[in-house]
Amino acid sequence: MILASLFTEPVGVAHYVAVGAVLFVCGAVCMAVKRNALGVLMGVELVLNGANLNFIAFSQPALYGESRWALGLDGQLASIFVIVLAAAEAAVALAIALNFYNNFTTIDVDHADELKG
Amino acid sequence: MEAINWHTFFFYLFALITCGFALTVVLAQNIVRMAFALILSLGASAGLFFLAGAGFVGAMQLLIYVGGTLVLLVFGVMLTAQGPFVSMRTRGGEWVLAVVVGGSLLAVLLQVAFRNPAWLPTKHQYPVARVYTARLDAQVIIRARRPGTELAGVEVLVQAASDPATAPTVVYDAAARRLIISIAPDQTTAQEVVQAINQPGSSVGELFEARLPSGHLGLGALRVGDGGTFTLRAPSTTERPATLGLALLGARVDHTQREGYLLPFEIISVHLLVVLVGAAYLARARRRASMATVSQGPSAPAPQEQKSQALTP
Amino acid sequence: MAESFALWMPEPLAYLLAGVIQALLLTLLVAGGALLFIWMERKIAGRIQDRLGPTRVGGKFGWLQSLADGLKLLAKEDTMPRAADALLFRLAPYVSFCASFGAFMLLPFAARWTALDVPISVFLILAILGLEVFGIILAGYASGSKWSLFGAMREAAQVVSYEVPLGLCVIIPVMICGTLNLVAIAEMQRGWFTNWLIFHDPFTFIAFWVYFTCAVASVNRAPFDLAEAESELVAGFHTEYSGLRWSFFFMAEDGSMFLVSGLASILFLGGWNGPIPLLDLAGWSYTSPLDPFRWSGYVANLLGMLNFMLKAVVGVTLMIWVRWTLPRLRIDQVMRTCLKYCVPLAAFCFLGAALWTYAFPSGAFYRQGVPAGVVREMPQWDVPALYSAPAAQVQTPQNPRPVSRTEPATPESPGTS
Repeated sequence: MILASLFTEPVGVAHYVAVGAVLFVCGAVCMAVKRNALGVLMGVELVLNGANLNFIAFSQPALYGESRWALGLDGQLASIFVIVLAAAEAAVALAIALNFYNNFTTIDVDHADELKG
Repeated sequence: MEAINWHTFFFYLFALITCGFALTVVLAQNIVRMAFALILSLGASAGLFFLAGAGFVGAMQLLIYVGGTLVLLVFGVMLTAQGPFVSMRTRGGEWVLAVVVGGSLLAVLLQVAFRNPAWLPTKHQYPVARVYTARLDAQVIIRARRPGTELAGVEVLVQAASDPATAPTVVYDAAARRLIISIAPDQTTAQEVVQAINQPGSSVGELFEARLPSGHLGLGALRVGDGGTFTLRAPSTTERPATLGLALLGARVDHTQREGYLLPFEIISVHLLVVLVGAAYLARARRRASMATVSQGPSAPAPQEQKSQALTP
Repeated sequence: MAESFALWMPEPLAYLLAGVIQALLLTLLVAGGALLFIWMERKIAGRIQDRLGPTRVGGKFGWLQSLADGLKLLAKEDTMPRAADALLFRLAPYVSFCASFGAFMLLPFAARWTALDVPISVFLILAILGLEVFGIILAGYASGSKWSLFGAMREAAQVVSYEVPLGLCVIIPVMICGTLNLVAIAEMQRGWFTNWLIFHDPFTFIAFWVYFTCAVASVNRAPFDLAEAESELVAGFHTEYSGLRWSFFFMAEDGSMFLVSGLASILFLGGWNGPIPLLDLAGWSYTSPLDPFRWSGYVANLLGMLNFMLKAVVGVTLMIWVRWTLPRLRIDQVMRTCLKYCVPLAAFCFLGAALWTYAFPSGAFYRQGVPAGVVREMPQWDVPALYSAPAAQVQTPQNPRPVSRTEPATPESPGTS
């Protein structure tokens, strides 16, 4: 019965934001616990994607109870910028990770502690 | 029983895939499986983008994020996935700490998401969008249970909104054979008035043309008759790629009050170029450092460099 | 389709039924196309190498040979190496196949015949087709064999690099037509063959060949099939595959071949519009998507679809011909071809076509009168002057040029009759 009412009710911005929050938390936890540098990078991608989802949800007037709060096109444009920046970020982070791998022959970020006193 | 809201159905489907595979990314130990789960998670979130009416951004997510950035990431994974680095285990204490902090963060975020009344959907305030957010194309569909009904006896039953001020009004002009459906003025867009013009000589059930005042052309099947429900979705300007492109070039056609994005667009292009030159430099330095490794060096940043050029036009 | 079904049944059921029918038709097309292309490949390879190719199975031309091959593959044992990652090894062929097959739903076959008509179809096709590479990368990694991994790495580098000139070449027709919708792009080329975008100006003529080269590379065909170079890598990414899973990779490859050829035919070669507009002159073909159904329009669409298929199959034949004629490039040559030749050439063609469109809005040749074409979801600044319909029903705003789209969309008076 609960399941039936789940699918007949409309979803709004809040539901999209909730999914975005799950993505964000998954990404943050991933960044915190993974020891593989590329795993940390994947966490960053998840966080960015959660932010993107929020922007998209904010842009759509039909998802709001009152559509005048909607961001409109600005939300979509912000998410486009996020995607582009994520591509740039991934390129640099990957180059750094590969450099690290070649210098230390490990990909474990816990070993990157040369600057420690 | 009420009809299933298909937008809601597909939302939960994609949300489940997205969140499930995001969790897999966190919990998996094998780095390649993590990458695969990340691909599926981001692909499903592109589905959510489509669902929210941002088709262009969704396609961009698939093309650039999934097809470009993640390929690069997987490339990096394969360069480093050797023996001990394929699956590196996290210590138990870190897990406990991460789950506690992450769980409380999630609780706060969910609380924030559902406590804001402006973000919750209201059932009857915006009937058009409520019925039709799942159909993201320009369509006007007037449906009747019995086909073949004469157009002259048009009787369109609009699902009554709780507030009569926002209920659409339907006027049928029999002499001109046209159906005028007016929707209450939206605050963000101009008043949406739809005209359904039946072509002379065509019978009910055939395709007809509808023209919106904002210049869009809708297409749908006109079916009118007893007890039919009228569902309509006017296309919003944000769903067309050209509007996005014009906004990036500095001209806003969807909103008179807001500015275009020409300067940020230029800045981000230059930024991308600089970043990729930097990445290429890093990768070159890598090859000098150790000649013994697999010499795939220059090709690693190369795909990204292409991406920047693909983005700039 | 779903709208017509919705007259007779509940709407969700109508959408489901329409989806199932379309999926079945597309599956038949992909499977049948794969059988045909394998047979064609064998016959053409035979002829090029001065032999006959298959001659026995199924009578005169050995036309049942690929069916016999398929049966053999079904009966073969599916082996998996012990070092393989079992889950990913099993999944990889399906990932590849789904990406190739999924892109077909956006491909229009005739004026109204497309499974999914979205305003950004050409962009979405490229995006979905780009996912095919994941299947190959996963196969390469999951096999647990170094040859497979090498093949997968080459594939990743190659496909991502070649997507750039491919995208640049696709942008040229999009820019000229002012829309990302494939149906609208094809309908803009209606009329005599001089309306085809390949003859629009010299730059599009070059761009077509650049597109074709990049398409061959992006679907991983010879001379760019480095990922499966048997002289160096045993069989590349599919070294460890056998039986049905192996055949899924090749269904995906054949599907992609057909898809990129079909895309070339829509973007540059007029799609379903013949060189001589016989059907238009006879008044058979639909002039707008708003036309009511009639049998002459149906026949015109059917002939148009055959025309489109013919162009796509010619493209595939060209790819097969290239495969059996040219030797395989080295990986550095492949990357150099992309970075030093294809990308600058595509960028040059893009700029040239932009300038040409600005200088000569009607293209290199005089454009014959185009019948009132599709006016879809396009707002008024998306509708070029070609589309200004004389009929009273479709009143398209007059615009001087498709390139200058700076004036905002002013609300138009609703009266049309």
